[in-house]
Amino acid sequence: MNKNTLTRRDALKCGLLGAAGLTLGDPREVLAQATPPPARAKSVIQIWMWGGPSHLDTFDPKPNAGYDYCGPLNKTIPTNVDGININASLPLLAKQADKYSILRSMTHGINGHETASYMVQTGHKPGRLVYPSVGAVVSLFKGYDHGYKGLVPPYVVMTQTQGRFSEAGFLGQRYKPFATGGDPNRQPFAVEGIVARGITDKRQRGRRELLHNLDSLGGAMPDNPQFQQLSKCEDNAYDMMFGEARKLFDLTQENNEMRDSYGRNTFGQSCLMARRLVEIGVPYVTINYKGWDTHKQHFEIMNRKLPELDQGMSTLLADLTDRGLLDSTIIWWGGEFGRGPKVQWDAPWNGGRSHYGKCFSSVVAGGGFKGGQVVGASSEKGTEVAERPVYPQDLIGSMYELLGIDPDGPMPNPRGLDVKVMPSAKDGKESGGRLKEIMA
Amino acid sequence: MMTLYKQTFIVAIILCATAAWGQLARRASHIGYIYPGGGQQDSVTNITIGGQFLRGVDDVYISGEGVHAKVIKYYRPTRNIQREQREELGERLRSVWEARLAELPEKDRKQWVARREFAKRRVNKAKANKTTAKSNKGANKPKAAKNTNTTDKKKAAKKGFRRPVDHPLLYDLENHSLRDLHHLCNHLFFPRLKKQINSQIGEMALIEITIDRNAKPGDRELRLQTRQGLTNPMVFQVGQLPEVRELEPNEVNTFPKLPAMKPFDLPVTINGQIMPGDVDTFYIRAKKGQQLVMQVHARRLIPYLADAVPGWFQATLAMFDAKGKEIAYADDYRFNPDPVLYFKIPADGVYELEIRDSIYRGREDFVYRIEIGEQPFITSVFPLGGRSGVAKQTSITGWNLSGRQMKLDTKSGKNSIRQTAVRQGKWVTNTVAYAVDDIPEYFEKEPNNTKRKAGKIELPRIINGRIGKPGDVDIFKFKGKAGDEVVAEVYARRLNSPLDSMLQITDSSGRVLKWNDDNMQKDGHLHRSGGLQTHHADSYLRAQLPKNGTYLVHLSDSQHHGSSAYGYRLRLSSPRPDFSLSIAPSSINVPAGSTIPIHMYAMRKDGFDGDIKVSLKGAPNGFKLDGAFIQSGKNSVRMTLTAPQRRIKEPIALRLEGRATINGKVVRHQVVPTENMMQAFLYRHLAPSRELMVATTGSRGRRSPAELASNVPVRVAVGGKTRVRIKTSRSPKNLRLALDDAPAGLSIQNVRSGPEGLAFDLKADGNAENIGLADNLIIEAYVMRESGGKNAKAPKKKRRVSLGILPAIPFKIVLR
Repeated sequence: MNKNTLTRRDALKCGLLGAAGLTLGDPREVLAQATPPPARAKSVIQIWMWGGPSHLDTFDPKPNAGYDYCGPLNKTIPTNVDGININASLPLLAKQADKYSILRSMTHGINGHETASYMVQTGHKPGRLVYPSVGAVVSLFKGYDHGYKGLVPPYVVMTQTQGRFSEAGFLGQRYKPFATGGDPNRQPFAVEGIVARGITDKRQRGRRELLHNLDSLGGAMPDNPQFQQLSKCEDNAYDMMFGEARKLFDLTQENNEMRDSYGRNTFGQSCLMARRLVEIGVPYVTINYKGWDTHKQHFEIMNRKLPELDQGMSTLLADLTDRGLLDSTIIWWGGEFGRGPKVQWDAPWNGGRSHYGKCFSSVVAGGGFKGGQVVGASSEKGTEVAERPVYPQDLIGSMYELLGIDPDGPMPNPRGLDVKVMPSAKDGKESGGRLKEIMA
Repeated sequence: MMTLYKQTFIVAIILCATAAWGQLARRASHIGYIYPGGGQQDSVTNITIGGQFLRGVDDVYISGEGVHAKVIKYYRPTRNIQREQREELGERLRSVWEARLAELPEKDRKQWVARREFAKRRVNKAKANKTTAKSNKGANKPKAAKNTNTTDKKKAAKKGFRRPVDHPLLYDLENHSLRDLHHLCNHLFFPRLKKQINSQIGEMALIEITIDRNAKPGDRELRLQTRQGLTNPMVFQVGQLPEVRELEPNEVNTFPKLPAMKPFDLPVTINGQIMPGDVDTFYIRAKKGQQLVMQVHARRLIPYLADAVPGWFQATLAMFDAKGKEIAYADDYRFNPDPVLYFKIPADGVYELEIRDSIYRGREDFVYRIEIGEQPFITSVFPLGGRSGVAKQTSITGWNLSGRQMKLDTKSGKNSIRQTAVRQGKWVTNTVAYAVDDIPEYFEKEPNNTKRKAGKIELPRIINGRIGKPGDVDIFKFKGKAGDEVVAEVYARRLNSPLDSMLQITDSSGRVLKWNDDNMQKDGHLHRSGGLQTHHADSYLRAQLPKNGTYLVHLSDSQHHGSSAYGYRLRLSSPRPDFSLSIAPSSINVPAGSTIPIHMYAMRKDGFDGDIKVSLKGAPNGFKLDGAFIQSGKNSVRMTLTAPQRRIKEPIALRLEGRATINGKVVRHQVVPTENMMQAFLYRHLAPSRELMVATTGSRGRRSPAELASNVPVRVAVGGKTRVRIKTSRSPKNLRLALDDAPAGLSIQNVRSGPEGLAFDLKADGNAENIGLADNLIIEAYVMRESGGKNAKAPKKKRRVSLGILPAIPFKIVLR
């Protein structure tokens, strides 16, 4: 069995652990003292481009750099915003450019997956403390401790956790993401712990009954508060299995036209699922979009994946706008780094792109981020930051501000250190400043 | 404000249309593996070489004397075999199979037939399961209406175009044994998974190698010559032991019905390849008391893999007794990834050997050789060198050695680090390294672990010592004066000692002036020093003495290990500024009359920061270096090599020499040829080669002689521009120039070309930080040509046609 999958039993255990206690002091005590800034955004949909997408082949094209840099993807397309061109491989996203801003000067200089993933998702350099990812921090500040009542956990990853680092960091189990597993492009979308293949509802209910029959200790001590808590967790878990949550993950509830518009592939249907989740108020959803670590056959893979990305993401932007959700939902697109601007034509790559953390692109939309903007610029061939560097902590700090999380506020940690949620230049950290220019 | 400098260079550029040089580089022939990776003296053997862009391979170059080769055949990549090809090949194999069976005695024939029946049953069973699964799956779905007629037609058309399978394993098929046929089928028909396409090693060449009886054993370099020129070099070993190759299937219990594999008699060298998930098993027949040395060569054959983590085939070797109990295991030898086992056989019998990758990776380039026998093997040498010009015997320890002494070549004028091996009867030991220096030598005397008992020495000295046991610290004291600069440098890991040194220098009160654990010279991810070593374990420090007095140097093992094998040489001296140079790549292909960029790397020593000039030594007329100068403070430069106008038929070994003036004396060093190899997607290493081979390839069209009128660098003021003029014999009007890897802040503008020559402005931006920057301009000349196809109505497309690279033009950014 895949170690990353969550069984129903695990789901129950997690519920119990979450209810029974925290892994460090109680962060809520620390947070109770802080006054949060007003929130503009309610949710985040993070499109995590696992492996690192090429900035030249997406949002920062360099058509004049020549074949050694562009390969066959050497054409740009004007967007619906004057003066902004993106790679011609993203024609549908070009029509939505007024909704998003492109950060063309992202940088951290790290070329290793693990460290770069950690930096981009936590905003911290590796050190003695293992910081939580943005999703876990949002879960801490916007989750169950702050009025979130949803049955679906506040931090959801589709479909598998990233595996490169611990998303919850020092916050512990309670703030780990709920990884759905399964494939939203398949029927049924076998969400771990909710829909189990090969087990009918009747059989599952039978199992529950059997469990109760065997639970002689629980039966003998019905007033024990711990058993009562366990019982409550079990009820919650079964509500997820047979109640509203199940309907939520059932994409057949959407009409075919809508499903087709997102693209009948794992990414497209994940975007649709993400929209459904933020619609019911889930504060943080990560779409873990794999397959961008293209050391070999880069352009062949791009030809396959870019249309998928284009369709899914552009529909998501349009759909959120149509439903009036984009104003309150941040869409964050990006990977741990970009890819080498110079194509590796030599063996063994034969047309691949390497890791590149010196300069890459991210895209943000909604939730208080303005659309139709470009922040920073890369050099002529996309090899270096030419203007206005944006470090991961600048972007993450900006998102926190929009979410009503004070980036300069205290961050609970196991060593009781005086640590801020997201240190900035004031704290001596490398910074290009938060993205005030695109924050409405 | 712009400043205009005018300088004139007389160069001629290549004005015949050729493929873009970048494209040439992209399509450069290269090899990724040689299988088997060696052969026995006095033998003729066929080897397969895998690589890319090998079409037209017509010759083989092997370094050293006594090994000859000829190309038998080139093979296109063998992709996953399709059904039609499988059937066609099956027919071909069947007749050989029947012929081999007919030659066997009845009893043996039954065994093979039984095996075949067993295999058939397995295949049929698998087919039946598949069919059932399919029909079950299909039962729930309405079958889509198919246009069977069209499908059949397509299939038939496709079938007609399937080429028969061709592979080096099919060469000389008629003479294959039954075991050979099994191996062949296993390789071609039953890949464990659908084979991943690895274009970089997809093409193959079958080569016949003849090794003379007196060919010197050891590593050679093999290069193929193709239409594009020479490939990169790769190790090919000349061995002394009988050679065998693995025959799949050879995993224990995988094919129980196959007649048992016969044990190999010793000594033997086993050759094999590890495929994904593969475990190769062999049997050897050994006698009680035999002291076997089992030495794996895997990483030594292919030191770095760019697209694998870790960046080499990490072999493990295990030995099992007749009961299947593991009795010996190794996954390395000290710090070296290739395992070596030494084992004294407890009883007569058959023993099992198992080799695999430590994390079960595999591919055609996971090639290994296992040498097994009572071969002499040196495990340590002490002292690890001697003084230049003084005859030296050093003691050696190891396995199966008859002597305990080894003579060192200490003649002056050669490299300071040298390699040697000892002949013992008809066998030759493994190669060991030692160092030669002209400084007086000193031998440590234990105990010297404390300040009071520290060895007293005069500077300069080379100290020969050992970290003799775990926790041992060797301390030496010397007297110094205020302001003196002292260098302490350890030579240990570079000489194959397992010592991972830690060095510190203190004053008499114990205050640490400097300390160092590892020392490396590195630019980004490129390690300029180290070669094949990824752990730069030898320590190095330079310290300025603050006052007159006694100082102590402490040397220990940073991992707190130690034994008699942990030898070292410690240099204590004043700084001796020096340098060494490496060039990459070590196979250079340049069209006759053309120019090509090459990389030169400098390793600066003991604070040497001066200029280094590079020149050709004894090169045939017509070869020319431009920009052959590494400016003070720089560690690398791209220069250009221009080939003679006429093609030289055979590749030649070029020698380059670096020259610098150090403390008023001219110091010369030969440039070391290297391959810039990537390890594990990221790190790069300059792996040394034996020769710098240059092939002049053919060129289409006429080329003009190229000559720079002046070697004086173009001076361009920061924020200004300089007009650079180039004299050309022919120059199209629409000629364009492009800077390759443009130096920071520099650009080319206002290119003018015509019958009178070529001129352009070299512009520097206003960044004052670039003042003093000096380097070479590498410039590509090209034109844009229209190509529209036959249809006149079709829109014309412009494409870039390279005209070649100009000789490197040195420049310097100045204030005004």
